Amino acid sequence: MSIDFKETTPATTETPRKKKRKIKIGHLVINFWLIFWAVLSVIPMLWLVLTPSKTDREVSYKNPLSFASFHGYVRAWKNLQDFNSGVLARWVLNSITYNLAIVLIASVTASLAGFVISASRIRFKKAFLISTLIMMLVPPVALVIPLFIEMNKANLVDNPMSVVLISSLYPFGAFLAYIYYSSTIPPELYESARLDGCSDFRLYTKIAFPLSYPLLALLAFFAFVGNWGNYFMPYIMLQSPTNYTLPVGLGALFFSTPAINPGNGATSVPILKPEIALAGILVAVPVMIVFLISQKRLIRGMLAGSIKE
Amino acid sequence: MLVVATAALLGASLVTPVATQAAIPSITIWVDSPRLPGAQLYAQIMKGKVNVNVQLHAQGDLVAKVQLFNTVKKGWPDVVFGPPNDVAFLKNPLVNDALQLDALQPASVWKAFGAGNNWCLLNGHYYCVKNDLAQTVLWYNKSMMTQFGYKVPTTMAEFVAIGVDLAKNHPGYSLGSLGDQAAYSSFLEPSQCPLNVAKSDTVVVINSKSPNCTRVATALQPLIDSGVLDVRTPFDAGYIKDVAQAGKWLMAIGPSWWGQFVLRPASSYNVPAGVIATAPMPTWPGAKAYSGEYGGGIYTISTHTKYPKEALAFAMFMVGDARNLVSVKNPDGSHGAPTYPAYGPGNKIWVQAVAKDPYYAQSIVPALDTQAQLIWPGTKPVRYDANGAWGASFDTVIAQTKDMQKAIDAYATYTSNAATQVGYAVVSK
Amino acid sequence: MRQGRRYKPKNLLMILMLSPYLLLLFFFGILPLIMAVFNVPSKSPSNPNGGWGVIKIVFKDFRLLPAAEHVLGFMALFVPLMIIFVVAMSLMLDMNTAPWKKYVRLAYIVPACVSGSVAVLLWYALLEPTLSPFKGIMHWMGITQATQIWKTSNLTFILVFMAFFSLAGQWILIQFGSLQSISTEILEAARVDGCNQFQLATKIKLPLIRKYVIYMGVLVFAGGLQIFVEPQLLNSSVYHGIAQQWSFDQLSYSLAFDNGNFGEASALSLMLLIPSLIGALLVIFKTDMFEDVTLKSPKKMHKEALKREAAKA
Repeated sequence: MSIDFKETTPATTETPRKKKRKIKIGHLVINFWLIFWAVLSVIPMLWLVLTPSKTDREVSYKNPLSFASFHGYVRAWKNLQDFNSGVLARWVLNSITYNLAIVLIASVTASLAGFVISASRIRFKKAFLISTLIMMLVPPVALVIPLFIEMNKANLVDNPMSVVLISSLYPFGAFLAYIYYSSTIPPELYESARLDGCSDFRLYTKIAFPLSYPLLALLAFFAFVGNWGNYFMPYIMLQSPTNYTLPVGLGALFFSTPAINPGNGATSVPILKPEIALAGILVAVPVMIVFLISQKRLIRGMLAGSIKE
Repeated sequence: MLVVATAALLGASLVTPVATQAAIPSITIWVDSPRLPGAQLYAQIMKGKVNVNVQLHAQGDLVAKVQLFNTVKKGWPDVVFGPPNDVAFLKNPLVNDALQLDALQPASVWKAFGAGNNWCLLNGHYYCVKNDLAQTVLWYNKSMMTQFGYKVPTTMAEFVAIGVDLAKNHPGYSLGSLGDQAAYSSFLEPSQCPLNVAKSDTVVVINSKSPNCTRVATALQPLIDSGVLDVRTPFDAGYIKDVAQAGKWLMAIGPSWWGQFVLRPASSYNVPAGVIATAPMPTWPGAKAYSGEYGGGIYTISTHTKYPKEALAFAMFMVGDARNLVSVKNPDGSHGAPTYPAYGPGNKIWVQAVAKDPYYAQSIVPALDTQAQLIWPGTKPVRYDANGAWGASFDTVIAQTKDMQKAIDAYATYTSNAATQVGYAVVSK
Repeated sequence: MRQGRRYKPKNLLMILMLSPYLLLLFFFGILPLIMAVFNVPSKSPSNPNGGWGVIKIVFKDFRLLPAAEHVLGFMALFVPLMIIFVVAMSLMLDMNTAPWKKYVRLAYIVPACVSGSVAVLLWYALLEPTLSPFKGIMHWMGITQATQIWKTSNLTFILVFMAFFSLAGQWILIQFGSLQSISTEILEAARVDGCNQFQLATKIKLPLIRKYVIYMGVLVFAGGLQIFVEPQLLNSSVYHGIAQQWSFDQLSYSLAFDNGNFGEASALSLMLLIPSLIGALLVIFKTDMFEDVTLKSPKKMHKEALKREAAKA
């Protein structure tokens, strides 16, 4: 891999050759380290990707990072798919729909909140920030019982709405949005727009919103990543298997298999390491796809401009 | 459910027209994945008579969620499959979700369980239905025993003698392992070592210094030192690969499900066909040939159920009906219940197929049947995680020190604390 | 901030736009939190008569001290490791923006994609010398048996490793993002002044992203104090029971769901909130974190950076 540093380090052209070489070696070491860590991060996933190609026995016998046969994937998939007449597909579908709803509600409410706090003259910036921070710091265990009581009062236990509503509270997002708006949009812009007779709502739709695509990408990404693998809240709120999300369903399916719990190992369900690994890929792939899609906007927009002009 | 909800919305005055529909009993069942095919079959069979709502849950879900249901005073499932200790949690008056079942079916049915439902018999009443028994027996490789010239041990002294000889003449061969609940169910329980003996809902005997415990430590220590008894868990990937799959597993004391699910699978011990046999438990001096128990689930019925009889009927279907025990098709293509049914008439149906299984060198059933009636009655359901405590205390100590007594003491200390924490008085006798 | 103006009905629209978030915040944040506080003195098995004496009961729990030891030991390693590593990695990534680094960044978040029951299997396999893709390294280090790894005295290291591995990637992404948004003019100016890459990173970039590092510090601190998922996963693995009630949050969970002691569980959870909250409030009030987000011209920032540099020299 050849890397051209000239383009980004023009200053080096003015320095003596010796220094330049020193920097180059330093760069090489750093790049090697960056790649090394990347490889280290990917190996477990690679193991997960390769495991379904093997039989459960081969998992302990063959080289952990070897490929056995494509048929293994077909077999593992069939075993997963056949379970309880294909309830897995239902869980995937549930996870997708719940998460779409969560991402939408969470991103919109958080971006609106961030905008209002940064653009309005309402005097509760500190209260907002403190309450938002508290919410980010509260251990979820503390809120489970009260939330369950609330949901029961609202008759929403075992209803996907409970999960969607609870997960849509997105203080981290509101906080990001606040930083984003207050640093990318100068207050003068709002002032002049107000003088032109813009309503507060139009301030958002005409000024803030068009500038906030990177922010929305960021909000959506973190909302998705944070909720897609979430086990605890859906586990507490949902009772019927047809309402389960993928992580909750897989939990119910996997925790009675010998691959995870050999102590109650007697089972006639063919769910072993290859099947669990395949399900793991199923859970991980959407996150990576979302990351790839939002990557460009994400990096540019991240906490954008807060340090920029 | 829907009917009730709609009725509530429309107001009480409109209830009468739908009353006839509501008369069909409706029950909600929680089972784990191995029990799912049987439960779904039951739902199908009962169509039109009972609305059976089958829900897949991980074992142990109820104990966590019942606290939520109690808080909001609704949501309890009618009948639930769970791990054995659940009954102690659920029977606790503060939780109060285990119905007393005695009067719900004729005494003759309870009697037919034999000793099979003793686990659920608390203070003289039945609070659950035992699904399967996990009684320990002696599992051995028959041809290897012949090859080495060993007789099947009938006493623990003989078992230990084989171990000593094995270490000397056949180094590397194994008589099993001790981690997880293996040490307890294979050796300590059969020796009647009091580590979980709940005398009532509030008093538990935990005494690792009892002679019944120390004699186990003394007898096994040489085998641990020589490595004939492994300090890893029976499921440890290293143990499976280095010992079991290397063909160095000679025998071990293990539960009834060992043969099908630990010894046989290619990914597990992978013992070839035609060599496995069972024998009754080797005895400790002055005691019956008691078994320990390693696993074995239960059905509990909610105190809040409107249809206790229908709920109990489901549990009895699972443990006593041939359609579940031998016929129902499992996801892996096999048929019937995976484990030894606790209900006498049920296990008589179930063992027929197992007795003919050509995998075994001889029928494993006689030993299983004998030991089914000999599970040590000392161990009782408790309201703390007595099984998980092995991993939390015993396993680490035995792996580090290889000292059996120290490891048992560590377990006793850990569970004494846990028991005290949930309101037991810990006594030594 | 323009303050002190009279309340105008115009703000109605603003409030309307804020209200969806406020409603969520109230119903699923503040209200449950208040309920949790009121839950503390409620009657429970361990506190049959109710009352605030339950706090004493929490402190008497034999599992509390071990949990405190575990969690503090964990944090002593985890928090500094996390902050130093993430900042260093982000600075390295930011040195230049070669296109291949996009894939490196993607690789870093891969470990975070695995969760729940699948993570149980994955971590079991990774740390099991016969299954692990890293078994070559393990054998080289003399680790051939699982019992050498899976013992309670190693849990702190295992959990630091797990938490670090699955969380570092996302934070690298965030800190890298904040570095990316530093104005190129500032960086150019520094280069013209003769800064080399190392000086640029430590003297210019690091001070500029300081508040995001502090912000991360607070969340990492709170996350460490509330560590739950990782030990709970280990505990439900093949080595069942190995990390029972290992951390505060696990203890709190167990109090609530194993024993029905909701009051005790709430008390413990809320006590955990206090140190995190103090940290967070210090950040809000003692640093310029939230006062300083107003706009600055690049020139002004550059001047400040130079001033800082001068002060150090």
